[in-house]
Amino acid sequence: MSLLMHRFGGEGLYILDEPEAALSPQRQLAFLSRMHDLIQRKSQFIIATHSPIIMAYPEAWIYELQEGGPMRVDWENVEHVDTTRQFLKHPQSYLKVLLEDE
Amino acid sequence: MERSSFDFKGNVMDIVQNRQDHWDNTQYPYNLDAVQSWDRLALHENVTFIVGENGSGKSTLIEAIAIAAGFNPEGGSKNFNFSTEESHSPLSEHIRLSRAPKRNKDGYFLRAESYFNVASNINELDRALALALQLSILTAARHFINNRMGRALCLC
Repeated sequence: MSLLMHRFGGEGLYILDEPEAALSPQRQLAFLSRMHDLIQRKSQFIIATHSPIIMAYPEAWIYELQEGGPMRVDWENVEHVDTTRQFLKHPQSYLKVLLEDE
Repeated sequence: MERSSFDFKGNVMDIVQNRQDHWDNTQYPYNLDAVQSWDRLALHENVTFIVGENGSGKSTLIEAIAIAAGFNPEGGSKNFNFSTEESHSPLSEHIRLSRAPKRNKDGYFLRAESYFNVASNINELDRALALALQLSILTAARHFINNRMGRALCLC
């Protein structure tokens, strides 16, 4: 995060592999905002991520690596996003199945 | 649909693969679906995300793109460029970036595991600087002592 805040100066190509590591959800939101600044200043990002927050950046292209290769998908349909959304909606039913005694 | 490179606000328009030379469909990383299923991947001018399950080849792919873009496989900015162990996959040799005329002034490749690698480089740099400083102090001290001794010897 401090890299993004202090070191990245704009007009850049930034290739980031899991930048969300060690970032709280609040910091991931701040990440989005800083990324937006850098994009306004003519930067391009290529990002591998598991974070539904980070991949929500508007109008970005998302390639999901599926069986059969990379497929362009909308944020709503990314599996990570769907799994997270379903879990937050129904935590009890997930936990019941996951933690069931054999 | 062809996009005009002059209207493109980013730098990298497409990732293009060629499968000449040592390409082997049966070997890692060429046997990954993430790698062998495409010839050209178009990028968005602002942000392109690569998402997928653990082990789906995200890091392999993004590392090859970064190396093709001129970054060090260990990560870092382009001039922060002291490579140690060669850890990268050979995939980058088969990847070419098709770039728009717009030039970059800045750049960074952040590896997933490399918070530590980059930090350790910085530590090494600090240590080397400290050592250099000590050595130059020692050298200066030695000069000083030699001069004094020389003078002392002359007085004898």
